[in-house]
Amino acid sequence: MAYKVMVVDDAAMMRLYISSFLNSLPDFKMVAQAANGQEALDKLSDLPDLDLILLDIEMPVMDGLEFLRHAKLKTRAKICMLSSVTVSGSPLAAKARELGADGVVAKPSGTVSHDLEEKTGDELRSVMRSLVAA
Amino acid sequence: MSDEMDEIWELYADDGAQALDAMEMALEALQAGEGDQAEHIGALFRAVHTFKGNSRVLGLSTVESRAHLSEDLIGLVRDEGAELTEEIIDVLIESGDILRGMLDETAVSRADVAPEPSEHLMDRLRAVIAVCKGEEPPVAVASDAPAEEMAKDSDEAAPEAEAEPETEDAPKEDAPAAVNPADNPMFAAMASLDDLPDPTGDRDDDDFFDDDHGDRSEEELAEPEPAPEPEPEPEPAPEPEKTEAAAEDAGGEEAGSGLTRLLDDPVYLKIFTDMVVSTIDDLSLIRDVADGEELPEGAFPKASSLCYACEQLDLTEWVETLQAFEAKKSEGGTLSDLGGLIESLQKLKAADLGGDEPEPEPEAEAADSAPAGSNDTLVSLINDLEEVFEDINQLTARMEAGQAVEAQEFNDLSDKAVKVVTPYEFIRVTEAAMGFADSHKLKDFRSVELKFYEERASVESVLDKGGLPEDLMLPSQRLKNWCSEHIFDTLRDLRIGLDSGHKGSGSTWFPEFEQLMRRAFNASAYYEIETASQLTMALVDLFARTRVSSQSPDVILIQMARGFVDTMELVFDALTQGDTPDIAKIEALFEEAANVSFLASGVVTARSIEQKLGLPKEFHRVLSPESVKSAQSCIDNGLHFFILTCDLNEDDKLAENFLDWISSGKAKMITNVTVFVDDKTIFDFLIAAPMTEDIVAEAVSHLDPSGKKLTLKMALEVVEEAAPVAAAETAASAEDAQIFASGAMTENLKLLEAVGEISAAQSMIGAMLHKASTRDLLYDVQTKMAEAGLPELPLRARGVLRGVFEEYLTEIQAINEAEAQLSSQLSQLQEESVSMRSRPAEVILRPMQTFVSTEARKLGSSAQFSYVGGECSLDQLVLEEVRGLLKLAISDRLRAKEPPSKFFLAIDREEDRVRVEITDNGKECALSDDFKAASHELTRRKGVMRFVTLPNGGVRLMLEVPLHTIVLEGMVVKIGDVRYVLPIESIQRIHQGSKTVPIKAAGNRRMLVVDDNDYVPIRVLSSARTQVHSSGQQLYVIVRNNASRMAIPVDELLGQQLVLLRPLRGVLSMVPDVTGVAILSGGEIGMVVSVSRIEAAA
Repeated sequence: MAYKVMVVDDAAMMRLYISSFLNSLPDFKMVAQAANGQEALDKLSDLPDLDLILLDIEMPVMDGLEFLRHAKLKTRAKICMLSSVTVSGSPLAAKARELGADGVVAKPSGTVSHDLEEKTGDELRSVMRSLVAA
Repeated sequence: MSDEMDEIWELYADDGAQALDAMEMALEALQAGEGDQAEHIGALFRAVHTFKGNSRVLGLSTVESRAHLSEDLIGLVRDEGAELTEEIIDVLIESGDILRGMLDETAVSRADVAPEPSEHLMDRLRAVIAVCKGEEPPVAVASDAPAEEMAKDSDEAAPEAEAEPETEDAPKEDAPAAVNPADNPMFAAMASLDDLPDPTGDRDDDDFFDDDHGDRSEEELAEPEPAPEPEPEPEPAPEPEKTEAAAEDAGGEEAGSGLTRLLDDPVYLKIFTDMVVSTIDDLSLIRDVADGEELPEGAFPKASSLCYACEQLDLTEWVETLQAFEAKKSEGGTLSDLGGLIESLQKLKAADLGGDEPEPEPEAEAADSAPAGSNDTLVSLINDLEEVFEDINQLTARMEAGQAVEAQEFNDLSDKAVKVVTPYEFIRVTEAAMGFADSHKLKDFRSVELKFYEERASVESVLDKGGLPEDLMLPSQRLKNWCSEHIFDTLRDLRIGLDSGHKGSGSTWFPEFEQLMRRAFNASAYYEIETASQLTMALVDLFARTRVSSQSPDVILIQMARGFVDTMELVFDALTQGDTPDIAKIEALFEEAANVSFLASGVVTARSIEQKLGLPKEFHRVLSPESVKSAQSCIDNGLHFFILTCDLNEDDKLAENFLDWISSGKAKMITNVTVFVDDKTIFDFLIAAPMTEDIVAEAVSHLDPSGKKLTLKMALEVVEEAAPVAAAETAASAEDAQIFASGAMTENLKLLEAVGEISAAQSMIGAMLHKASTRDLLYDVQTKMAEAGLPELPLRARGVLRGVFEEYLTEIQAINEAEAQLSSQLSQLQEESVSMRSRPAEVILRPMQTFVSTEARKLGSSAQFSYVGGECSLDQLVLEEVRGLLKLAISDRLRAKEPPSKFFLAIDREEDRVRVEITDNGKECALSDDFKAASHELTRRKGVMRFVTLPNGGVRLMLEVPLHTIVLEGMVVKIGDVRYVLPIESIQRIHQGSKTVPIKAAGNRRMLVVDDNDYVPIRVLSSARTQVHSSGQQLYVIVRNNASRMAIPVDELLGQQLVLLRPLRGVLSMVPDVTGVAILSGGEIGMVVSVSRIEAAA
């Protein structure tokens, strides 16, 4: 059975891109999505079997880092940051690690990265698989 | 949906026809006694089994029941040793004919057939089955009995036949080849239609439901398993549990109150559970993506499919729930109805299917005593854990003392901790508590202990900490204390790990590395060294990314981490001694870590692009290496840059069109950022395009005619000739980096030159005014009149004229004074302009430390860099030049076979040049082509760049770079037709005389005798065509350079002047003895003399 994924990103187009990317992976299935951290947090209780959360950082209402703080207490799902501000070794990538992010991947071309699959697909796929396998 | 159903019915017809053909062929072969009988019987069984399965999938109960009973009969022959009689073949032929007729009918009607016309077949089949089993033929059932009942009856009529051969062995052996879903397109299509693996829930032995398949790959499924050898003497089948369950059902177990008879079977339970989970997921997704409150149509087929399965399983409560939801389709339900259904299904799943319990309601036991989200929770948790902490400390102390600890004690501790924390529902804290049971070694125990503290600190981080008791030891504080107490152990372990080389996959070494770094993080937090905390996590991030790629960390990361350990040891050592630590190195490492991805990608840094494009602050620190590379490429190709604001979330069509546009090649997206307006998200896109601003604006208005959702926010100016900012050198502060913003530097230079030119012109005006103000106009008039043969002016007329001329001269003098004042101000402005362009050498030397260590790490070594003379003030252009040359030289040295581990640099500014010496402790090495080219160019410009091997080991770089773009006060002199500028500060005196003497020891060079016993060597400028007069008066300017003096013969002194020294270009660079040129007050070019160079040439 495919691993269940929730996508949290305030950009509708980005959710679409990520969904399309997930559809190309037989071992993953998007079961929920949210436009901000609060919305995602509200949905967590309905998703006890969730395996993975792909999480943006810069979002209104509740940002990804704040969500991370709360979600770590509520779910066993692995949390992978997927944001334009989490370039390797950057301060926000470091912050995400500090708060317990299980994986950190940078979007290649900004908040809305239409080339996600083309430029970061391999990395994201590897990270996702390594996280759910752990 | 209708297309898919058409396809499925077509598949049913095709597959069914093929199955019946196979059945017919097998029967014909059996009838004729041809070939291997067992093979034919097996083919016959598979054909009927396939047909039965297909009809069941489409809900054709009557068809299925006939096929089912036929299959039972064949099974008795195949598996139970029943003799294949003509009667059996005959009834099966009849069955085949009837099934074919049913196939034809149902393929057209897409509905089940009436049971009555084929009841006689059922009776006949039951009778033959009974004979095979040595039983009395059963009494025929009523012709109007429901199809399902009939099938059930048939099961009951031959309980042994079903209980043993079908459910246990026979189907598992042969069926995979017959009904393998991977082979059967109908099943595949059905599954893709609605993820409904088997909606009937019928107690069948169809291998599609075989849980063996659950763990098998498609390839395995495609491989038919060989049929086992039939048992010669089949033992009586044991009474299966399911039969008992069936009996219980028959005894009146209330339907829907719990698991039904079918769900007692783990295979069915698993399939149904998967189906429920999948449906809940699908419904949740439908709910999540719903636009508005209207109930999405897509939810009904999902609910309907599940409802059908529930009906087959007699799950009354489920059916009622789902049917109630289906009723909303006509009643007009809302999205909340869908939410209600999902919630109900989750509850039913938890009640009937077991497994994961749904998330407990907030009103759980613990929540009553410790409401989540308040600091009461935290206080309560901390207090409850006091005893546990004591136990942890005791166990740790005993383990540290080498005392034995029983396994049971670890279990007891774990149980105790779990018992305390479980009611709080913080699952990771509970899991961490469980870890104590398995951590019998001190090292493992400490890891679990730390994890336990960390998870508890996570709880603290999300709770309101206001109003907590002052004496309460917060989890985070306990964690920090622990880590600071163990920091030197932590650093030691880190060093050992790094020195071991971290061989192999990251999964083996990374967890330990991460844990140690987290300890370092918390220790840094204890001492409130924010940068160190950030650095630890930045390194964790860098190493974690390496781990994912299953590689060992590269040498740069290892060296960086070693640098981190070295530095942190010093820092913590200072802190424990009560000293103030030097955290500059930590800051440099942190900057290095932040830029390592750019360095690895071989691109300029994000900051460099930010500066080149003058990006607004929302674009700072968001450029990825990909974006930076892309932006640099667009800059190189001369594209224009724009920022567009787009409200993507508001208008899907616009978003699609816009994203198409920026992906089409007409424009290129570099990056984009989120901009929040209240709770609304809009996006700013940085794009590059070949078109100009007006064309971009037109394209934007074409995309969004309303002009409200997509706007051109700004056009950006690309700053030309940007100063390269090397990735490794970004340790310079933002202020330092700013000085190399090439735009500002270029503008400063232009301004300075403009001021210099105005100043020169103004000096010329001043000289002219001075000349005019000192002119004796009356004398001039009288002279001109006399030359013209005019009579002398009368005395009175001369007096009048004199008065007029004096008034005129007074005005000229007034103007002259004003000009002098202006001249002074201009000079001051010029000096300030120069000052503005000057920076201490510190700004290039400090980042050079990082550059050296990074370069060394890249090459697998390590090196340190220190310097003196950082206060030396130089023009930015000079600093840039020096920096480039230093990097080139140091890179060459680090590539030596035996590279230096230490560099020491000294820098000093002389009158017309900057002199740099770098001494290192490496061996001599070959010079790169780049170095040779740079050295050649510098020599041509009268600079110096060469390596000198030191006698006691090591190598020294001698670097001298001519200064330019400086303002100096000079004495302008004329020698022949050429004007020279001699720096005022080097002039000792002016001397006019004729007394010279030749000095034999100096090759008969002449010495000027200034005073009786003062001899000064005469030095004629190489470019001047002046002959020193052996007799007569000659004007000399005596200059001094350090302890040396020289007398330069000149023809005329033209006066003092502030000049802007410009670099020599073209043929002028060939002129000896001079260091640059300057525009003089008369507009002429003056050659600026280098006193040091004259001395060196001498």
